[in-house]
Amino acid sequence: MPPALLTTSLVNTIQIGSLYALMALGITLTFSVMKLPNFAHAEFVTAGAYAALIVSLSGVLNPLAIMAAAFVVGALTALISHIAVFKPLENREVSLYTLILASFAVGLIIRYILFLMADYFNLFDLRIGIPLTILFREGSLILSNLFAWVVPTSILLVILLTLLLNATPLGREMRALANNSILARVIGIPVERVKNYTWLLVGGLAGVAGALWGLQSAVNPLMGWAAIISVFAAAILGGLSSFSGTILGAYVVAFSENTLMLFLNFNFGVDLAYKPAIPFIIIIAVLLLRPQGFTEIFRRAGDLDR
Amino acid sequence: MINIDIGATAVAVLTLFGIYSLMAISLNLEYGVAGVPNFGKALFISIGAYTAGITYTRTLPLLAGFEAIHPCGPTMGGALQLRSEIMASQPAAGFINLALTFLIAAAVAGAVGFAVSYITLRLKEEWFLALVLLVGGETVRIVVRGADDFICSHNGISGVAQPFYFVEDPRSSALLFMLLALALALLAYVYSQRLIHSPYGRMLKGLREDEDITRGLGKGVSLARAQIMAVGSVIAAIGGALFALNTGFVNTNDYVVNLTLDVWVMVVLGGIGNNRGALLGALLIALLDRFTQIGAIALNMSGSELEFNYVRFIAFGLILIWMLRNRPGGLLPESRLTTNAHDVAKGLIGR
Amino acid sequence: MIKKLTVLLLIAMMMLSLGATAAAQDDMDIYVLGVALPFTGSFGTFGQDFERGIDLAVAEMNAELEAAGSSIRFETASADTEQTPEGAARALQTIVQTTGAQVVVGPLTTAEVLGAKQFADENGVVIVAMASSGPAASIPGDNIFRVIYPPDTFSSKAFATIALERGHENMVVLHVDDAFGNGMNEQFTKNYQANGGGEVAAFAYAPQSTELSTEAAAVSAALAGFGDTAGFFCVCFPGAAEAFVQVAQIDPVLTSVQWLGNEAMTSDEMLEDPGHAQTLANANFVTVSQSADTTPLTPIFNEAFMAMFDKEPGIFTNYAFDAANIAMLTMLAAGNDGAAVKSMLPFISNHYIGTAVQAFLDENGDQAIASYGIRQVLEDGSGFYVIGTYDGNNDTITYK
Repeated sequence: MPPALLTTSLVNTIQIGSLYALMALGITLTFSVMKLPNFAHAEFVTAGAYAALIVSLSGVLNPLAIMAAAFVVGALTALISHIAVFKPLENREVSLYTLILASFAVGLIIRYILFLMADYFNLFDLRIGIPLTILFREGSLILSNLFAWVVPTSILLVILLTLLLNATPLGREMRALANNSILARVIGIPVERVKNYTWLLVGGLAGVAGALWGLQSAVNPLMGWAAIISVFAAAILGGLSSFSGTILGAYVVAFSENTLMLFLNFNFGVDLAYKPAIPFIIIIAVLLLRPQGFTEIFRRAGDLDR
Repeated sequence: MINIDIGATAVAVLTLFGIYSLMAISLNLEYGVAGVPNFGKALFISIGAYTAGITYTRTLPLLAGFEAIHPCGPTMGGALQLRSEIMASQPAAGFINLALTFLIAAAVAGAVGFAVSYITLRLKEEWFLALVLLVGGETVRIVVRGADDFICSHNGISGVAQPFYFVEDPRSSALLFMLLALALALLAYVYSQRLIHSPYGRMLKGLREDEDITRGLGKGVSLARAQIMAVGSVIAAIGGALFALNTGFVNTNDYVVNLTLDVWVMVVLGGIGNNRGALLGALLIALLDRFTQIGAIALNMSGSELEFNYVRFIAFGLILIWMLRNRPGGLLPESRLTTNAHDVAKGLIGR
Repeated sequence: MIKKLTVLLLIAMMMLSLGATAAAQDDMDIYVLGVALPFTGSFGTFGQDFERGIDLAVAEMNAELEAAGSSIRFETASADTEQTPEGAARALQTIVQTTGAQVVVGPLTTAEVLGAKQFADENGVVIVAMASSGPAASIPGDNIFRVIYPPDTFSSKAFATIALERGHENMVVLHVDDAFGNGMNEQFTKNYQANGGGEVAAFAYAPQSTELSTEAAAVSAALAGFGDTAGFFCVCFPGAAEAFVQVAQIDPVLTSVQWLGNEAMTSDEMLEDPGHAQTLANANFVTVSQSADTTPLTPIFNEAFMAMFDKEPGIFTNYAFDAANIAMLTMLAAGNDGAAVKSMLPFISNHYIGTAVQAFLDENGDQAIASYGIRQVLEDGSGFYVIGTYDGNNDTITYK
């Protein structure tokens, strides 16, 4: 494997891993607090990307404004999904598989509403209009303005989220809910309100991830759906409960899809078309061999079930 | 101009109903009865289809007394022509080959299902199995898609004709194939009904409700689960072989997560744990698919600008959510199991 | 509940049949032209674009028929293939069993065409595909005709010839991992190496990828390994192509070599992004496509399309327009009957001037004339211009 390729792929690993982390934290949060493996998360990402695209097409090219719009749309999509579908189902105490199916159905509905909209306004495969420029170049190490947006934004959001969970009343309530929902109810935590805030947070993060993902590639109604398995793999590596584990998981998945895949390709001739199988294999291996993921490595701050 | 050919439409819908029934009954056995959340349905269905792709290209020519031609690459056209001629002129070879397809598909799928159920034992939480099967199915699809000589990777195998291909009149030929699909579905239904209502079946339902208690009663839990997974997988693979024959083409693009979800929707719609519910779900999906397509054609002809094909999927999602919210047991909810002992006890108490 | 559903279904059926009787005008002969295309999924936009081309052809034909006092009118019945082979079979079945259509335009990919094949062959329905180009569907004597758009054997040869003429000693290929991409790569490699080309390093990207940074890194490394004399050939669909260019535009190797690319890459959206346009311009990006090789019909089609839909036609829309015209002309000549249309379609096709090329079928029912325009991106990246033509049947390039 040539050194230049190694450098480039490591940069990609950090960039894409940060995006995966943003998306996967939402999955971990939904699963911990709501006990829901939410496949519709993919569509919160896509909805955010479309919000970002429409804002950028309207002439606003400030990345902060674009991300804010994506946050709001993603958050609202998540909250509406919760109020319209997940909350009534939870109240009926349906089985986990019913919830999984419902999350697929919610995803399907959002996806095709976006299809309808994209068809009507002709918004397929467009890019969010922030041009790509090189900020730093030293040999084969090239950092773009996209890198400068994606990585710090992700890290900042992760830090904010950790602070929120550990240092605010809302975070304490969320953790209580994650730990034992019955007990949380008994001691008087306003469960419904906490859940609403959690959904807003989860959807908002997904929306921002969508906006950043749309800077990296092209926006279409299937973009979130295409990434969801990688994101789930990251969350599963985090044991679906640990924040730090999920973040590490996101980088591990990104590393496997980029650096490891290229290593296998260059040294052993493994076809790049097998790239989508990598997160699948990670999921299967983790669930079979180490279902707790990285949780036991990080028995510290940021764990939701601590 | 809408001019529905009611006979042909009925045959097509009922053929799909038969095939979907096999898939739905198999999932109902696995999930509805034994509680195994098989989100890898597409994998087991595809085993049947891929087997058909292999037997039609490898064993069919041999059974008809020809030498097999390599099905992929430059000889693709010749191989296709050969199998089409055999299917048109030698019905016996076609039927023996189909029986062989079912046998191999059943053996492979049964073994995979049996093995997969033991994975459950290793999993921390039961729903992990759903995820493992979901991504496992996709992994297999990607690997088969990349394998050059298996079913010719991306190109697939065409000319996988249904066994009544030799019948000249296409309507009779389709009718006969429909009868075959319905007969197999009926067989699966009767078999699984007997399975459910046997003591074995009651044990399985006990397993679904509470594994520890069933285990405590001394029932062989893992073996029972493995057996039901094997039976379910066999039925799914037979359904998969018919699914491929109905199209006449085997290609990895068909066996995606959406197919799994469709089967789940059938079972949820009809009624989890109830075989008649699974049949109803299969029928409703077959009808819904056809009638929304007809609706799309009619709307388009009337000059509507709305892209109804997107609305179809939205409506599909809404119906599913409505069902999950308002009818969580499905249209035909599972009935309480009663046994002779139960009746006797009721009589004694005098209720 | 079940009763309610049954009643609902019955009502729906009655309404449909009532609507149908109302729609059928008294003394008109309605010929139904089926349209089976992927309207949903990642190729949904292609399907929608194709349908517009077909709608235009039908509207024009009906206007002419009315002016000529004919009692025949065409009507389309379109169904979604969901981009799967089995979905294509169901769509075809529904169209035929709902409207009695004998001729169906579509589907798009070779896999979908093969999915629809069994039903078409058995029931004598004729399929007129306009974009399928994979070799797997080159079958003599069946009910499938692949008009206007020739098999990839031609364009792969064109690309190989151009690569050799540009002096590329080695090539790196990035292609979509489906029947089309793999076929294109194989045939390109064969033609390129048979005529003196060196090594070809090929990378496949999984269909429906939305992010191609790994692939770009691999291509870049392979190009660097070959040195200055290598060229790059991208066989990509629009969304993936944009994602690729997005990451490639800051890659030092990829921005210093010359690029070739398939026709689907050259969507308008691609050049709308200034960074992408500049990248392609710097790479002297060249593609071959029939639409650039103008026939007298080209401007007529473009103007009519603009007038009807108030937008430019998509990259392949004109092929759908041509396919619909060939299908309709054959139905006018042979009647609304599958067997007659099957027997007469090659004759009509061979007397039809397309919007891009003269239609002509070989013994497999595939387009046999390939005459491409070689198009390069303008220096400022604002569009494409024709730098020459490639005659696929004689394998010769003529530069302007």
